[in-house]
Amino acid sequence: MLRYVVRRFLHMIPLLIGISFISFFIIQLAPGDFLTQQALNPQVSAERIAQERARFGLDQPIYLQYLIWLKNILHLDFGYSFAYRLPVFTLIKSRLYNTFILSLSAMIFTWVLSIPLGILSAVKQYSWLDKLISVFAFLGLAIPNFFFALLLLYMAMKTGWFPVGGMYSINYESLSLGGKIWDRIYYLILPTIVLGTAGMAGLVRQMRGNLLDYLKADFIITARAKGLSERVVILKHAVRNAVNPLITLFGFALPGLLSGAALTEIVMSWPGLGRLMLEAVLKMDLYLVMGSLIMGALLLILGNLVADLLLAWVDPRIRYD
Amino acid sequence: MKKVVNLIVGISILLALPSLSPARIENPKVMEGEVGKHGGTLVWSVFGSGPKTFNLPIAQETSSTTPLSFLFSGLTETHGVTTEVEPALAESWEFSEDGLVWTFHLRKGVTWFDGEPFTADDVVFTYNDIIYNEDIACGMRDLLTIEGKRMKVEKVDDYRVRFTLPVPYAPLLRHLGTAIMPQHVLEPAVKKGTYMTTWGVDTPPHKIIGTGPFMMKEYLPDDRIIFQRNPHYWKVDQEGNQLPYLDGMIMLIVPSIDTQLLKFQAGEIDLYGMRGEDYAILKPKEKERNFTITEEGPTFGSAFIILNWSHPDPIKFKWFNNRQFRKALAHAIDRQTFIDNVMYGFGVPQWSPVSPAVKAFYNPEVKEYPYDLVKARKILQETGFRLKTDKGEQLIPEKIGPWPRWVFVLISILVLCFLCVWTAIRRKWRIMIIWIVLIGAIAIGNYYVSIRPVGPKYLYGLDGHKVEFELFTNSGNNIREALGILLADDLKKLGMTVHFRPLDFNLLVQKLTTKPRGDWDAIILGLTGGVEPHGGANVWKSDGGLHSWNYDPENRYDWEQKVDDLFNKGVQELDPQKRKLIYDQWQMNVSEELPFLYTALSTYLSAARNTLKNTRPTAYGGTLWNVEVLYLEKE
Amino acid sequence: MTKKGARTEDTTFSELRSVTKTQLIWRAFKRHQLGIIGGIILILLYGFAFFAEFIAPYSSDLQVRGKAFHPPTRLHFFDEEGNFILQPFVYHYELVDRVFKVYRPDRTIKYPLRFFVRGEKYKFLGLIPSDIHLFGTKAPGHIFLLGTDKFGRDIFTRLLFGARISLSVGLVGILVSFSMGALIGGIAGYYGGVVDNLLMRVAEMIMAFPGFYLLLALRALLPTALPSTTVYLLIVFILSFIGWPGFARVIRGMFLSLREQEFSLAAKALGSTDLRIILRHILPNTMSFIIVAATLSVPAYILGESALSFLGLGIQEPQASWGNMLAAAMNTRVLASFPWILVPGFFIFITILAFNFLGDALRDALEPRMRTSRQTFTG
Repeated sequence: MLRYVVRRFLHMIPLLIGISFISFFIIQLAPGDFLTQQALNPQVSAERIAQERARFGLDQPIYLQYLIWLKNILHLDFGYSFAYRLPVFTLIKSRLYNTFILSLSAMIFTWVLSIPLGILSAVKQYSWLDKLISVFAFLGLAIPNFFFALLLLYMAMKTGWFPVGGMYSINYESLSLGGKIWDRIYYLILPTIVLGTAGMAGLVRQMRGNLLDYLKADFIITARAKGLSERVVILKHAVRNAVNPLITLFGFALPGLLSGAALTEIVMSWPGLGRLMLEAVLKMDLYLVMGSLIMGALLLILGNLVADLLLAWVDPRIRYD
Repeated sequence: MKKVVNLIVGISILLALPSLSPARIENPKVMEGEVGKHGGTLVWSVFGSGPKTFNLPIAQETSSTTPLSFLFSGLTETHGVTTEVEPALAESWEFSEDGLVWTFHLRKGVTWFDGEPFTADDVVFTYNDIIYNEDIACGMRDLLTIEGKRMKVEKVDDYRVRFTLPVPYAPLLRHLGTAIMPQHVLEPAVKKGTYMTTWGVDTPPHKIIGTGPFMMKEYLPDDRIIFQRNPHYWKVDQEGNQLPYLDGMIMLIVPSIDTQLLKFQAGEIDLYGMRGEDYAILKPKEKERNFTITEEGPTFGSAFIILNWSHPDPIKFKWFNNRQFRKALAHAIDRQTFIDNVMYGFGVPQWSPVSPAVKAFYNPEVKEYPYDLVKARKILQETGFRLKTDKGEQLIPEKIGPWPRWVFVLISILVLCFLCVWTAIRRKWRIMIIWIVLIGAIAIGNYYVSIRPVGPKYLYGLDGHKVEFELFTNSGNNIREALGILLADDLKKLGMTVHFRPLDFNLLVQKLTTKPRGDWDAIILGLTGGVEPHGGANVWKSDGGLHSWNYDPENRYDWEQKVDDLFNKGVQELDPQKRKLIYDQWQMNVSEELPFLYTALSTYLSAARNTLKNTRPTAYGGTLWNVEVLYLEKE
Repeated sequence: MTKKGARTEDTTFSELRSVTKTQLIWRAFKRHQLGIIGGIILILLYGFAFFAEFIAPYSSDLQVRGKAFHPPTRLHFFDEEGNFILQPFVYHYELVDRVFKVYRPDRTIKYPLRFFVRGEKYKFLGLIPSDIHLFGTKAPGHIFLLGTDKFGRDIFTRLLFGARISLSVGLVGILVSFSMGALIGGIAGYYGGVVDNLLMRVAEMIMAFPGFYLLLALRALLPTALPSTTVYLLIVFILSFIGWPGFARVIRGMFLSLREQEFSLAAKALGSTDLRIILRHILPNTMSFIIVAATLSVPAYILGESALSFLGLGIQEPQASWGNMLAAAMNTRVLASFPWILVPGFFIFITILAFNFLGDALRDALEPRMRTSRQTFTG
């Protein structure tokens, strides 16, 4: 097992280099650089821009810029953000945590809701309940995230049930520990719904499909023949098997949430990584973009790895050598 | 709302303690406004992202300068209502007859947040070691460089500073509002050459040392900044009470304007800078939600169309350099619809490069070009542009040889009918269907060819070229995009073919700043504008970096020369009356020559809770320009 | 895989009839009522989009200046006295409040609704010139079935023209990404070994890209002088370039197993070329999966276009797309005062639901055994 994990990590290295290489050049292909917009600022002279460009190393050939960046990575130096004049890593760190909380709660929301709904939908195949669940599961998918977020905020304003965006209350600091935890949950609810419902449709349909397959399998028929109650047959035998393939999906979910979260973060004013990165891309803050991209790719690869290990743990038939 | 009150009480208890210490400032500045009560926390929000740096001199974006402006003060400051320059850290000043030597008397007893006294050394350090330091990218350097030369800044004694100018400089006092930085904190960084990276956003906020009304207590990245009252601030109210009244402020960073609006409606924030479209939502709720909307006349930010006078294509060069052509275009801008539908009724047409909000310099006499397509058409006619009808190109001509087309159609249909009957007799139904289909096709085809619509009328220049050009703007700016859509439609009515294309901002900048002959036709742009007309020198002087409509030195006009002279004269004229006359002349020139086709200025709108007292919102300073005297009345 | 001659139970010997594969599929499909509804909705939507010029009463960029934020015009069948009139009519609407944009119907002026009226000239599908519109009113009157936007443009008209873009984004997108995916996945799966390894690493790399951000970077690259339709096609190509790897992986898996099946081995033994085996034997067996997966992935393109529009990077005005119409409606004022501008959002919603239900039904019908294959496919 350990050997497998090590090998997977070694596989990551060329992958990351490839990703960084392509991203670096695609970003550089776009017209202008971080300093281009400064040219329209009446207070900034052309000489100053040239001076800054040299300071940032933007006047060097692209391949050299890339190689220098790559060399620094080896020293765990992800470079400086032009806009913030701070190490990229410092910037990402403070937002990564927020995004992680949001992604995690969205994921829990999706899974906790989808699996029972999927089971219900499969057991009552073609019934009205099945159809109702289908429609419900697709609701989140079919409304563009940013729009759904605005709708929910509007509702929050009208009813006063939920806070209108943000991450903590104004008086967060003066709350007791319990109060703080509740405050965090209270502010998490709406963004979680927006992000969580988007992934629900896929999972519900998947769960339904898998379970339907297994309900026709021989061992289920045997279990029924043994006289086990329907409840035990479904929950103990069928569902356990049907959940397995979903675990692979888990690995893909994290980076998907990352890019999907940017627009939600903007509308819900959630101080996350997506927002930072969107701004960095639009402003061509080169190393900040690269840092975030690498972080996203790492998340994906790690997510896949965790999913594979989980699968091996859940399903003893799978062996890694 | 109740929650907010609780929290205000909570925070005021926490923060009330330091305000007990006595003020030691010898001659504090007395602020106008009714006497208020201490306490309370004001919650407001900014649109966009968080600050990029805590280092004010090198900060470039409003997202950094807005919060930092509460931490620092300059030698002078601008009054939010009158827009006049007033004393700040300098309590008074005098200048020599020729306007070249200025001596500033500093307020005594002012301290930095950490208790160190503020002295002339700090001023000299700020100007000589930061602003004029070549290694530091400071935005103020260009503004404080006069005729390419620096001012000499010297310490006379601890509380007196002398500025020596190369030539008289009218905007000097306004520009001396530049924040003064603490020498004792920043000098090591300047010496070491690490100034550019000091006071980044990872610095603990309480380590940012200034002399402003508030200090920073905490920064949560991209979420909020929490401010705390500066108990030793150098301003008092009319009864001599220490200012500011507020115990603290919370600035939320909200990346969506609509979320801001919803937050205001939900009572989560106390102030909101409104857009025109919000008026209809907020106005009916004014009483119920206990806030007041203020409408305060035109703002400063302009939106205009510029044409490329130094176009590489000789045909377009001729059109765009033709004043009459530009005049016709100016008449084709439907400003009223733009104001009514895009600004939702809250705007005024703009005709001069100076906003009417700048009362000291605005010239109301400038030429106006109201929306009038008939007049525009007439002007174009007189200039030699002609409307021609484009006959849609006909696939089959009306006459083929000597015979008209219908003869052929008739003959072919007759032949086909005959064939049809023939096959029917021979009972070959399938082949018959082919003939029937062919008859139908010819009949329908002929119908369409004959009703083929006559093409629309297009405008042609003198030399027979169709008037066709591209109109760019930066994508993502809704107001400019809307303007482009309106204008393109109106120009279409004049017979011009205008391709409106929103572009990536970087790309637009690159096109615009190509010298000497940029490859673009027309661009919708905006300038932020301000009170000081010389702020536009970079745009209006013909060698200015943003003289973007005409960079080509070989294509210079007399009036451009004249404007150059006016700007050179205006900047050295210290008498306000004479200075206004100079800039009046410039506004007149611009309105006659139309390098910029101005559209409309939005009206300043803001909403504030009624519990917040002493507010005097203005287009220039917003609601928070007199933040010291704002106080919260408890509900 | 399919057995010819499977018989239904109630067939008697006298009317012995075999059930074809098509009939089997159709039967399974019919059980899925939501799928059928979805299919019908899609046919209608595409039909409307195809005949947009004819059905729409105006052209997509006609601005009626004085009629901005006009509410939907109501069709009346009864006049003031309550008499039924067969030909419905609309009232003239008067702008009462400029700031609040309140319109009130003026009951003294009415315009009857007419069919097949002559209106603005257009070229149907860019080819056939005509000026006949399905419905409309006489000259000074206007009929805005779904109201107007801030430029006074008819939302109903723009919805139809926008449908052309939004509904074809998905089709063009899957065409590109699926042919790429099928080709690359097919090669990787059929040949295996080093080729497989290499291609799959490339696919993984593209999957690990946060596509959304790269799209932003790439969007600025597009040349400016192109007409907006070309730019739109380029966007679709970029979208689909990011979209192919997930699909290629599935196809590869299928090829891996199919090439070991008896029929392909037999074909190989008989001396068929690789190309022939792929085209004649293996590809047809993956067809049903491709159809299903394609149907289910169209919505991702529609949503992608709307997200880009929200950032101001999608289809540019004045051309209409559902995405940019919805992005223009992303505004509290619209939500509160002009809800009709949100209609494109509703249509995006309906279309995505329809595609998903249709896809589900197709899957149940086409490949009852391959339900699990969806796991690796993510939109």
